[in-house]
Amino acid sequence: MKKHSSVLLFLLFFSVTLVAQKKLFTKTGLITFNSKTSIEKIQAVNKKVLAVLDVATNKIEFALLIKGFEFEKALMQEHFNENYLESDKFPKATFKGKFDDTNFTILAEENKTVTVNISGSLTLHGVTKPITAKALITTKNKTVSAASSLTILLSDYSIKIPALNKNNVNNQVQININLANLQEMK
Amino acid sequence: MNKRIVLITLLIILCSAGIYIYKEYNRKPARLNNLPAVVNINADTLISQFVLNEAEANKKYLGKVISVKGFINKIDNQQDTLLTILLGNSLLSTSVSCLMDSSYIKLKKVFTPGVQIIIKGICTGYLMDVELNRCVVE
Repeated sequence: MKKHSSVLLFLLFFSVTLVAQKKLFTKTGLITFNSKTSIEKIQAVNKKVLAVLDVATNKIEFALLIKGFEFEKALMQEHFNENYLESDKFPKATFKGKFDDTNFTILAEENKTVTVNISGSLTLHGVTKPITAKALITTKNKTVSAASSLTILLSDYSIKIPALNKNNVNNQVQININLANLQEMK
Repeated sequence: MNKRIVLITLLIILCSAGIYIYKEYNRKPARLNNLPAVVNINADTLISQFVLNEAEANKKYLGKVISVKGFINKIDNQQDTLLTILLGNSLLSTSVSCLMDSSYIKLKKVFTPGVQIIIKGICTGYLMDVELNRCVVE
């Protein structure tokens, strides 16, 4: 009995150690943003978000290309790139942050969801600001995924809304992040 | 009589402007099948240009429709919602990552690794790979 317990303890320790060394990543993370006013609803999606989650250090980083955002209307996409985000000048947005107080042993278990706090800095339009958000990490069918939602103010990132469009574009923008099927980095 | 002609002309101008604004506001992003590529380039050349000098490569290709010739090194079909074809040398860590137009998922077209192909897409920049969006096969 004692021998079995020792073996079990060893296996548990071994699997936890393996999990703790993992770096998980995706090149096809999804980020959508929504800006809503009484006149207009603006929505765009970027399907090629690069994200790396370092389980050993609790760090998370992601990067995306501003020109990768796709809109339903071409004019909105052109204005977004040329007048608001100036994507020729600032082609990328990045986030570097950390999960607070997270025990990633959850990654070794099936069908688990845990809520974690993330804090870090978001660089957008050449401006870096600290942000915090809650995220859900889920393990299902032997895959790990992460999702989060946060709100930012365009004015925080020196993104100016022309006076003519003040009623069409909301300064407050909701961002939804969905990193499905994170793969182990080899 | 003159007043009438002026009024009718104004009305025509206003109507035309209204139609133009409505059409322009609702214009969908153009399908790449109908757009000519501004550059035809080999996948390995494109990758090396971005790896060596990203800022310079961005100036040349960012937001442009480009046609890239290369060998398929990987096909990533994510639950039939996202189809990405990676072009370039499979031994290198950087590829040209072509996010295919959603119509290719419906078509269920078969792509084979190792086969040479020409893909046209809009260059959105460089992360771990050189990224092309809304891609179509030429």
